[in-house]
Parts: sequence; C-alpha cells; structure tokens
Amino acid sequence: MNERNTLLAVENLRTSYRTTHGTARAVDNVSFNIDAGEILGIVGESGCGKTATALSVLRLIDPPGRIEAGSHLWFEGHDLLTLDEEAIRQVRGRRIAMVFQEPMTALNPVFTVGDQVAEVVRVHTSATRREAWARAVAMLDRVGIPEPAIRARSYPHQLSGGLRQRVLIAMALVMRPALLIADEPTTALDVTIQAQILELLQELQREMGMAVMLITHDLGVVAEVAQRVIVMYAGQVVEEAGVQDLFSSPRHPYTRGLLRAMPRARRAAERLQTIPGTVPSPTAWPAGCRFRDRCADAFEPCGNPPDLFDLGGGHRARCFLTQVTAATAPTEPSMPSRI
Amino acid sequence: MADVTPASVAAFADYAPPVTSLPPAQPATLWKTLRRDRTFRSALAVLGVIVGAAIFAPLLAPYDPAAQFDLTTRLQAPSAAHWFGTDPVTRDVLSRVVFGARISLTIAFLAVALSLTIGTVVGAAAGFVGGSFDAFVARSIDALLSIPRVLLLLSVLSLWGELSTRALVVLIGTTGWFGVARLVRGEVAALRQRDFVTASRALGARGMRVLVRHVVPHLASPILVAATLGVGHMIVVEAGLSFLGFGVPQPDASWGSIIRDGREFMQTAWWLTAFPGLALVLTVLAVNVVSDRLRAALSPRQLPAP
Amino acid sequence: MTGNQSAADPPPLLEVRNLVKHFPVHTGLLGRKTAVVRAVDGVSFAISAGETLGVVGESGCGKTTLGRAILRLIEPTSGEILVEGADFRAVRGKKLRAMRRHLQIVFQDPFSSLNPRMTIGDAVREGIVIHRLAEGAEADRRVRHLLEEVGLHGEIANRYPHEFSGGQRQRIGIARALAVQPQFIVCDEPVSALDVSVQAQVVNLLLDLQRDRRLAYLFISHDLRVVEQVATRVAVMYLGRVVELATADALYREPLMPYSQALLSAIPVPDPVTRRERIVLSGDVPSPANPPTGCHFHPRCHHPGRDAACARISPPLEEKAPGHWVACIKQPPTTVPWDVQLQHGATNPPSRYLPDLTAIRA
Repeated sequence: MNERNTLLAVENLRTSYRTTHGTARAVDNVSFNIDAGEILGIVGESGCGKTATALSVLRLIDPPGRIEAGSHLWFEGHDLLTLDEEAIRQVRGRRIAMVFQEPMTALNPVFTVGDQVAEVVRVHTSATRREAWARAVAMLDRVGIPEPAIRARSYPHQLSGGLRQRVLIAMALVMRPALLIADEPTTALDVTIQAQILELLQELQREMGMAVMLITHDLGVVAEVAQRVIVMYAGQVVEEAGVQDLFSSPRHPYTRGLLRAMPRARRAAERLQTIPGTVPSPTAWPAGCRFRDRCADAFEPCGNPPDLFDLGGGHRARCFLTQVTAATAPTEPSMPSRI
Repeated sequence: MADVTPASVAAFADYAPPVTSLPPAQPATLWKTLRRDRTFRSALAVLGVIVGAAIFAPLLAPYDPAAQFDLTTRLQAPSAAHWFGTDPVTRDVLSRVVFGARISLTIAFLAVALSLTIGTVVGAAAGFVGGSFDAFVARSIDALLSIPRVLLLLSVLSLWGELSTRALVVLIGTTGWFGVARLVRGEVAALRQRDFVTASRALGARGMRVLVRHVVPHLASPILVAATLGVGHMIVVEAGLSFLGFGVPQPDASWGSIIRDGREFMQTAWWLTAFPGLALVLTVLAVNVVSDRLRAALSPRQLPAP
Repeated sequence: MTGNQSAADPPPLLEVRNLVKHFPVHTGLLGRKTAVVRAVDGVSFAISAGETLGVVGESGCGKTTLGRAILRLIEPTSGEILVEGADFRAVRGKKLRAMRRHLQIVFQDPFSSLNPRMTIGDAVREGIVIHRLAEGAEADRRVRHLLEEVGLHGEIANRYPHEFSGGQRQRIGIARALAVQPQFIVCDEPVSALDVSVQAQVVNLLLDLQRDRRLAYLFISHDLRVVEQVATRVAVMYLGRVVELATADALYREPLMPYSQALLSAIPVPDPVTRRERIVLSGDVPSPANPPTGCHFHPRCHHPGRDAACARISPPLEEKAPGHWVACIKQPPTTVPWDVQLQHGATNPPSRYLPDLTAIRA
C-alpha cells in the first residue's frame, strides 16, 4: 500500500454491556483502520460485535453499555472518545454519518421526508429554512428519488422500502461526510431493490470520495462492493484482507467455513458444508482461540489466545495455523477452491 | 421413523444455548424480580395491612362500629381511647374505618371478578372468532365505553332506588367490563396471528384446543394487571356512589358512606372525613403501584444486543 | 400410493389448480369493500413425493399467502387443491383436521413459531396427542426420537423455547411438523432469519429428512441462492402469478422470463473477481391491489420486444421448452398468435432475448 491516508484508526476498542447474566464484552480489543475514500466491509454473524463496533465509532453506546478505558478512536486528528458532547454532536451527521438497516424505524413517522433531510442541514449549518429545503430536495434527487420536489412532502409510510432507504442515504450524505457507516443497509430489502441501493452507494462513494464502513452478514454484498474486508467473530477481528485475497485465500478457518457454508451455484439437493456448533455467548467467551470448539483443524496451541498475525500484503489472521508450515500442522488446512 | 442419524447430530451434540431473551414470566422469576423492588414491597405492605384489617376487623376494631356511647363522647377529637375520634352519634371512627375496609374491599374484589369474567369471555370470543362477530362486538364496546360510567350508574340507580350490597356489586361489575373486553380482544387477535397458533391449527387442533393451550395462557399477565388496576378503580367508583348516597344500605358503611356521613362536619370535626379518606387514598395508591410494577415486570424485555 | 389407477400414472402427491386468494380491502367508517388485493391470482402446479418445489419472488408477490392457502390456513377464494387426487377443499370439520396431518408447515420466525409458555416436549407432542398416534411412555419415546432426528438432545423436552437459539428453535419447529408423519411440508422462508453458518445446518437437515422420509417440500424463499441449493423445480412469482416454472437447472442456467432474468442477475456473487452484466430494474414492485394491466411486469420490463400488446394481453403460462413454463408473449414460441398480438397494438414480433447471465457462473 502506498501513501495510506488513514481516516479513522480504531485502537483497542472494547465495548461492554452489563446484563443480568454478567458483563458481555461485545467488542473485545478491536483495532483497524479505514483509509479516506475506501470501502471497508465488516462481515460476521449476529452477535459478533459488528454493530456494536459501528455504534461505538459514533459513541452511540448507551448504558448499560459502555466503551472501556484504553480504547481510542482516532479521526481527523482527534480521539473521538475524548471529545465533549457538543463536539461529538458536530462530528455525527456532519463528518461521520450512519445508515441503518430498518428504514421504517429510522425515520420519524410524523415529519415529511424532506423535513427530515432539511433538519440535518439546519442542525449543522446556519442555512435558512428555505435553503435547507432546497438542499434536501437536491439531495433526494441525487439519491434517485423520482419527482423529488413532490416526494419531499411525503411521509415515510407513503414511500416503499427502497425509497425510504434512499431517503436515509440522503439524510446521511447531505452534509457530505468523510465516513459513512452503513449497517446492513440492504438486508431488509428485496434482491432487485438491494441491487439498486448497492449501485447507488458505490456511485455516491466514488463521486463524493467518502470512506464507507459497510457492515453486513452477506459475503456476496461484500464481494461486490468492498475493497478491504474485516471478518469478526466473537467480538474480535479474526481476519483482515483485501477483498480478492480474502475470497481467494482465506486464512482463518472461520472465514473458510463461512465461504463454504454459502449456498452456491448448481449443487442442487447437495448438502452444504457447515460450521458445527453455535457462536459462544458474549458473557462467557471461551479461553484461548474463541473458534477452537467449532474448528476442525484445532490443535494444541489453540488453548492460548492467538494474535492477529500479520501475513504480509495487508493480510492478517488470528489463527496459529498460519504460523505453522504444512509439514508440522496436524491436519492439512483445507483450502477451498476459487468459488 | 428413520433410523438414520443425520450427520448434523454429532455436529450439534454440545450446544451452549446463548441467552437471547428472558424467560416468560413464571411466577417464581416474577417474584424474584419484584422482591428486589422497594416501592413494590412498601405498596404490598400497605395493602397487606389494609386487607389484614378487613379480614380480622372483629379482632382489631377496638369497639363495635355501631356501638353508641353516652352523648358526652360525641364528636370527640382523636384521643388515646378513640384513636380516630368519634362521630356525631358517638361511634368510634377507627372501628368504622376498619369495618369499612371490609365492605369497600369486598365490593371492589367481587365487582372486579365479575367484570373480568364477562370482559374476558366476551373479548376472547370476539378476538378468537373474528370476522363480523368481532366487528360487531368491537363497535358495541366502543359505543358502551363512550357512555360516561357515572351517568350510566346513576341512571340505573335512580330507577331502583336503594340497592342491596349484592345488587350493587352486580351493577358495578356489569358496567365495568368494557375496557377489559377491549384489552382481551386485542391480545387474542394479536395471538391469533402468531405462528405457533397457526402451527397448532396446521397440526389439526380444534379451535377449543388452540384457545385453551395457546391463547389463554398468554392472557394471564394482561388480566392480572387489569385486575389490580380494576380493584383501585372499583374502590373509587363504589366510594363515589356511596358518597352520593347510592351506596351500601345502612347500617353497613363503606369508606365512601363514612365520608358522606362526615361531610357536614368537615369544618369542625376533620377526623370524620380525613381518616376514611386517607384509608381510601392509601389503598388505591398502593393498588396502582402494585399494578404498575407488575406490568413492568411482566412485559417482555430483551437483553441489549451485543 | 392410492393405487386406484393401475394403468394411468398415480395422481401427484399434491396438485394445485388455478388457486386464487383475494383479500378484500375495507375502508371507511362502515367498512365497505372498496378493492381487492389479488395476493394469489390463479396458480397451478403439482408436486410429487420426494420433490422440492421452490417458490421465489419479492415481498408482496403472494408466495407466503400461497403456502398458507394450500394448507387452508387461509381459506382460498377459488381453485382446487388435490392431495393424492382427493379434493382437500371439499373436506370440513373433523375430516379436515384429520387430513391436516399430511400437510405441515415450518415458519420463518423462530421466535414466533414456538409457544413461549409450552415446553419443547409439549410442542412436539401436540400433533401426536391431537391425532392419538401414541400415548404415555410411547409418546415420550417418540418425542425424544424426533428431537434426536432433528439434531437435538432428547433430554431437552422439559425446557422452554427461550433457552434456545434461532437455529435450535427452527429444528424444534421441524420436529413438531414431523411428529404427525406428514408427506408434504410448506417451508416458509425456513432459514431466512438465521445466520449463514446456521442456515447451512438447517438446510442440510431439511435435505436429510427429505431423503429419509421421501418428503415433498414447497420451499418458499426470497433467497435465490438457498432455493437453488434445495429445489428440484422452481416457480418464480410476481404479483400473485407464477411467471416462470422450470427445473432449477433450466431456470438458473437460462431464465426466460425477463423478471426472472433481472432477479437472478441481482444476486450478489460471493466472488470479487467475476463481474457481470446486471439488469437493474427501475422502480418498485407495484401494489398487488392495483397491478398493471396485461403482463404485470411490463412497466419494468427490459425485453427489447416489449410493446403495447404487453400492457393489454395477460400472458398465459406456456411451455417454451420441455418442462420450462414461462408467461411472456415476447419469448417464442408463444400460443398467442401474432395476428392477435397485432390487434392489441403489437409492434415487435416475439424474439428470443437471453441476456448474458452465464458469465456469472463461469
């Protein structure tokens, strides 16, 4: 990588929640960077900590959750965790914006969608009501809402799911943020609408040059959109790589399992490969490698917690197997062929 | 049945179920939650004292509530002999309030039981049968709810004149079920949409089985909350009627009628109205707190998503 | 099977003919019927034992209603449902409940599909009790066996649903359906709510059970990748109608209906190297209360031959190749003659349109 222009550096992020069953460390020592203008995919299954990571970046963790001391979120020269309420409010929506999964609940049902986009402008600028409205309509036009001047006067329930998601994107991007966090932005949508929204996101990202943190459980979405990918499991980053690298030579057994578990072309009525067992509970992460109990290749060293080993070329994986040569490994780590 | 064991069994052998939601409110867990709640405990204590007083009234009351002494003890302020003072006909106010608790609470409990029964049956029937029957019942309930309760009660009472205590219970009970019916109807209609109810139908269950096994058990919580809230409400309604002179016949006296008896002496003998009034307010307050806390404890909660 | 037709083929396990479900829309104070939503609008197909018919389509296409209407959990408006040749719509009361044994359902939402106040054992036992299949210790044994068959411990029977994860609950829901030894199961998005790795476990379980018990599935899903994995044949639905019905092989290799083409091209491919042409449809799915005239898909269609006739002629589902049924008057061959199309304002004769989707699967 030449001349990386790091926009956000997450350092040792730990976010925990107090529950009736003990403290759940949803995000456990997560570190990664996002460069300006890149699309970073964060993949993982429910409970892996990907959403908590996103909310932490915006400091939207409410009690009983908290971000633990020792965490750092470097963004545009500041540690977001040291900013006061007013300063973080200035970052939210203006420099870092977020798009949520469920477009219906993320919009306020009693205001028109135009008002809601204009409100963002008015919060962050001294624009008059009229100017803010004009910017809102222009942004709604930009995100592909037909007849934006008329649709701006609609209420959220009058729009389809796809259009509501476009409104949310307009709200997020109207201040031209440097970083957009998109948390499962297409999961609630139909596949043809998902295609439209992904297309739109990529187009806007190129045009505005913003960075995107795309959180999803869908490896297909990641493969299409992301440039670099982080795989999370049980609150930790288990693998990080460029998107082609990750799909062609995944190094962590969990990543390999996920890729193999995906239903793929033309194997009708054939059994899928699965990852046995279930994700451990966040109130009691297993000691050592957290994937060990579900891993077919686990061997003796896995009783200790593995580091996120650097494998060169920006590829990192949290697995001892990456540190052993094929000759000494207990079993040949099975590499899936190119999909 | 197939003897082949799917390979996935082995894969699944040692599962560790992650806790995704709290259990449905079982009585034991419910009590565990509520026991830690101080406000709930104090409210329950207040209710305990009042209900205890009502049950053991003959043992606790220092005098016969109807007993009249010589006229020198008329309208006495609270003293060591008469803690709550005496009334114009020399009766002991404390004893009257203690016995009044019996009347007030009995009427309230019975009326609530009656209104809950009618409301649950009507609401469950409407919600479960659905269709035009449901639409008819729903409209009727809305219409009935729009009539002011006091107006309804007073117009019926003015037709009958003085009523026995039993008739009063029936009257209050039969005019108090509309809200319960609406609540239950909503719950049942929502439950009917749940997949486990559809699954039971798909298995070939009769309507009655679905109702009994899959719908009714879920009504316990809302009905419990409605019941506690209803008790407070019924006490107030009964007190209001008694205060207006339509209440329990003499010589029985509920808190409402005691207050009515003392209303002319409000300026000179405050204890005649203050003590029964206090008993009334405390009871209703305690009942409402219990209801509120029960509702909070019964409502399903999720652990924060990690 | 029934064995009453020795010479002819036995009737299929399940046959649906011209099934219709319309929901009236009531508005206003008096609740007058002002419109109908044509959720299922004349659907026909047959399924035989051991076969999986996949049903795909986007939200609002009627696939869930179709599943429920076949089981008469929602009473169909019209049409026929034949179970081994017997008229399922004619039975009532006791007979209907008895017949339900053969047709079961597995739901999407693992948190709504189990009664939270009933133990796992009671849930699985319910069907056994209703149909008096076993009693006492024998029933206990069956429940344990069923739980083991779906990959759970037999001892969990005394526990409540909240103690289990989504995937485990789906297994319990499957065990409940299996308890009455059905021949046919409607799987209504059975893995959509699950994580990828758990999804694969449940899909495998369904495939194993199908093999062991010769079950027939109607597998409803919006996820075309999962359907490709499990289905022998696939029906594509759009606004209440089946617009394409073919073997999974044929459909995924060469979709003929322009809507199916767009749907398939929209699936994100889990491979960053392969790129392909994507047909991005404009606009949203229209409301099923007010579908476009003629071919419901015509306003969004990208077939180069689309013309005025598409808006006027309701395209029949016709066999374009052996076993490959498509509703499109512009994909030849068609049973709607050219002069009829001309009368309806056609300007473009039918011509085969096959966008290059094969690159996807290279």
